[in-house]
Formats: sequence, structure tokens, C-alpha cells
Amino acid sequence: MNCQLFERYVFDYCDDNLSPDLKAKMDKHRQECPRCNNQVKLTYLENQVLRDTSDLPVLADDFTSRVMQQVTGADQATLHLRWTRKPFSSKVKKYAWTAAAVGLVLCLAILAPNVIQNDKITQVADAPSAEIGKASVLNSSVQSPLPDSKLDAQSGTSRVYNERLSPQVSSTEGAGISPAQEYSPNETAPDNDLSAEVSSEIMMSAMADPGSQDTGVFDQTAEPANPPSDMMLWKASDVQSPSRQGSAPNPVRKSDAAGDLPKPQLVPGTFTLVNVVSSDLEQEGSIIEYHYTDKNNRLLVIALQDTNKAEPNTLLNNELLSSASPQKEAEVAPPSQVEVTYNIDVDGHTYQVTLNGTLSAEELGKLAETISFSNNSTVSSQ
Amino acid sequence: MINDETLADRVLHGDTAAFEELVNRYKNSVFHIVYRMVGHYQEAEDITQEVFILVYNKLYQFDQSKKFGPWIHRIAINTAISNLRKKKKVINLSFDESFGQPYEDYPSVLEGDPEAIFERKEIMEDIRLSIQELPDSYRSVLVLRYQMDMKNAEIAQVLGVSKENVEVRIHRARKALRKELLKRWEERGVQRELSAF
Repeated sequence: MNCQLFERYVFDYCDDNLSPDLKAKMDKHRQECPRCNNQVKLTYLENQVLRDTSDLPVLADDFTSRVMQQVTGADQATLHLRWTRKPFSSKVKKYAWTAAAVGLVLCLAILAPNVIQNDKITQVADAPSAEIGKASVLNSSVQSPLPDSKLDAQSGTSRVYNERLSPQVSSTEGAGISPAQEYSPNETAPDNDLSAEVSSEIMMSAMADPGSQDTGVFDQTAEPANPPSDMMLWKASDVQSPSRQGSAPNPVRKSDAAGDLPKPQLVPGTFTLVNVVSSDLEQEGSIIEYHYTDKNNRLLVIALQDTNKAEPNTLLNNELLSSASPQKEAEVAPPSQVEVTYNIDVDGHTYQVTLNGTLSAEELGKLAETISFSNNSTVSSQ
Repeated sequence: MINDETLADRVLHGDTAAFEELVNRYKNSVFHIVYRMVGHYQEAEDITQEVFILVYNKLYQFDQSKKFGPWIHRIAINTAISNLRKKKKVINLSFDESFGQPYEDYPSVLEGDPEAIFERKEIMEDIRLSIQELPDSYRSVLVLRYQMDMKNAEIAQVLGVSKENVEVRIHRARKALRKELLKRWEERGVQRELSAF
């Protein structure tokens, strides 16, 4: 037995936890080594202190009653409910609330931009203000079929209403009457004489009295004869952007009224057909417009008119073509006033073709050479 | 006599008297452990009360196939340590209050040479102070082993460790106590010759 080994077992030695053999060796070493003997004495002192309980205070006599008061004072039902719960139920509840809060924040973060955007669209569409310019841009982004090319921010929608609906009202504009004055109910009432107006007016008259014209495009819209200008504006916006009703792309709509007119062929593939507007009027004859746009949102309008039915002075005019340009052009790129008009002969029938849009005269000329017309095929692109 | 586990079962069925019986059985041992851990009477009493309320609320977690004693003592140790950590409490109380009574009350030590008696008093005081400097884990195992007079197997149940681990912990705690004591003497420049004992 050496001192190192003795130190290792000194605690067990003092606790009397050693085998007799080892204890005897420790006893022998202890007698021979004063330092290790001191270790034993110190360990005994430590044990004496460690085991001492004589100083322990006593709990107050009313301790039990205080505990029981606390325990029984609590809602028994709640306590028993706690006992019946699974251990993790409270944690799950806590995490559930946290998860719900996080989810709500995430939903708000994701949906808030869309809500704001939709709100802006609604405001623009509904407000008869200078914001209409924005409305045009937004509506064009959903490939609106109707134009606002004559729209300016100052006159707002009143002017659109004026140009489309009532030549009489339009005549007051030059007399210095403000837009607000122009659209008193007495003045803005369209009547059935609109059948003699240009095609652009047909569109709005169809809104005023859907039964008066066969436009094939706006037949879903029915408005009172004398709507307030704001109301008219809203409806105009609505009609301009039918695709706002849903997320699907604006479908190409085609009327049967001018179904016998030739159809354009070999339109360059860069142009996409976005709309077809047709009418079949007694004075003008059958008119059909094919609206194309390219990736730069440039507009190409191909208009055909059956010259055999139309009176010369009622042939397609710029008013129709420019009004048929997308709303975006009103703000971003003013529509070109250039048009190319020529006659074609298809199956012995003469038609007047007018190319218009936001293209240059040179481009329109090239397109006039490229595009052909056929009666026996569908509208196609190259 | 109804065993603890049966009483616990009765408490779970709404018998508050059974819980009162459990409180009476364990209040002293729980208070004893807590007091040795925190070293302050009032604080120890509050923590003891907290332990019993905790036991009452968490009784559904008690595995009735095991002993109730180690379970409640474990809660007592953990609650005491938790309170010490929460308050980041540094126990500055004198060892007289928390661990042992003043040395005058040790009649066996007071017999003999007055100088030796005085030296013993000093040494025992140093031991008490050294115990207070031990980490909670060491102090708790020493409390269970020497104050509660538990066997290593019982300590293992309370602490949730193996018996061998308890032995190792106790040995390390004793060595740490000795080291702390010698450090204390060294700091004071005291060369203890225990030949007088």
C-alpha cells in the first residue's frame, strides 16, 4: 500500500465500505504514514459535518394545511382536466397558437401586395378622375378589346363617353362646356338612331340599348338609357376589360354577323389575334375588324368592309380604327394615324381593307403586301 | 399502512386526503433536501411548497409501477437547482445556517485540549464553507448520500443515473470538497497538522 493508493480509498475506508483485506492494509499504512493518517482524520471530520442534521430547521406546523389550501383552492375540475391531458397537450396548444400567428403573418405578407394591387385596379376603374390613364394601362395588360386612344387624363372618361355615344354632346365640347356639364342626363341619352353612327359608337350604344344593334361583342352589357357619367365610366371600364372577370386570357370572340367576309391570311407570326369585332349594318354593310398585337403591344387592326353594301362616305374611318386600339396606347404610345386602305377582290367580291394600328406606314405597307384574304379558311398567321 | 403509490392513485381519483397524507410523509425530507441546497429557511419552505403543488399538478405523469419517494425527491432536487439557477443565486449565507450548527454544539469534539478544540472548530467551519462552494450536482449527491443517508442505488433512482455513476459522482464530490478545503487553507497560508486529532 502506498500513499497514492491510500488516498484513492480513503473515503471508502472512512465509510467502512472496504473489504477486510484492503481495510487491514489501509490500517497498516495509516500507522506508518502520518500524512495519510491526517487524511483519515480530516475525512472523518468531513463526514461528521456532512452527516450532521442537528441544525436542520423544522417546517412550520401549518405547512401541510397551507399546501392543501393551495391545492384544494385551485379549480378541481381544471386540475383533474390537467391529469387527463396528455403531457404534451399544453405544448401543442402553445405551438398551435404560435403556428397560427406565424401563418397569419405569412398570409398577410403573401396576399397583401395582391390585395393592394386589386384595390388599385378597382379604384382606377371606378374613379372618374385622372387615374383613368392608369386604368388604361392596367386594362391593356389584360388585353382589353376596347380602346381609349382619345382619352386624356384631364377630360377623363367623359370624353370617351362623349365620342362614342353622342355626336350632339360632342358638339358641345367646342362650345367650352366642361365635361361635367356635358353629361347631364338630358344630353347624354342615346337613342336608337345610333344605328347610323360609326362602328365605335355602335359599341357604346350597344351598352345603352343592347337590343338596338347586333354587335356580337357587348351583348352581355345592358345599361339604362341615361346613366350618370360615373356609372357609364364604370361600365365602360368593365366592358373594356371583360377579362377582369376572370384570370383566363381574353378569348378571341367572333361574330357570325360578318362571317361571310374574307379572313386575313399570312399575318406575320409575331402578331397575335386578340379580338375580332364585327357588325352588320344596313348602311355600312358588313364590317369586321381583326385586332392583333405583337410582343411589344403594338396594335395592328385589319378592317374589312363589304363595299358592295356600304355607302362611300360611311366606309371605315379612322375613328373606328383608332378607337379600337388598346388602352395602353393612349398613355404609352399614341396610336398612329397612318392607315393603309386598299381594295381586294375575293371570289368576285370587292372589299375595302384598311390596315391601321400603331405601326409605321412602311410596316403597314409591307403587311398590305403580305396579308391575303380568303373566304374558305380560318384566321391564321404565318 | 397504505403505500405511497396507492395514495398517489387515490389522489388521481380525487382523494385530496390521500394527498395530504403524502405531504405529511414527505414534507420533511423534501424540505431537508431543499434547505441543504438553497441554504435559506424561508426560501426552502417556499420551494418545498412549490414542489408539492408541482407534484399535485404533475401526478398524472407519475409511473405507479415505480417508487413514489425517488420521484418526489427528484422533483425536489430539480426544483431547488432550478430556483438557484433562475435567481443566479450565490449563496453567501454562513455555513451555520445551512449546513450544521455552530461548532460549540459538537460535544464529542469539544472534549480534550482547548487548543485542539479550537482548531477543530476552525476546520469544521472551513468544511462547511467548502461544501457551499461545490457545484449543485456535487452538493446534491452529497446531500442525498450523507444527509438523507441514502444508498447508492436509491440515489441512482432519484438522480436517474446508474449506481456506478453515483459512486463516481460521490467520489468526485469528495475529492472536490477536499480540494476546495485545501485551497481555502492555502489561500490563508494555513498549514494544518492534524496530528492533534
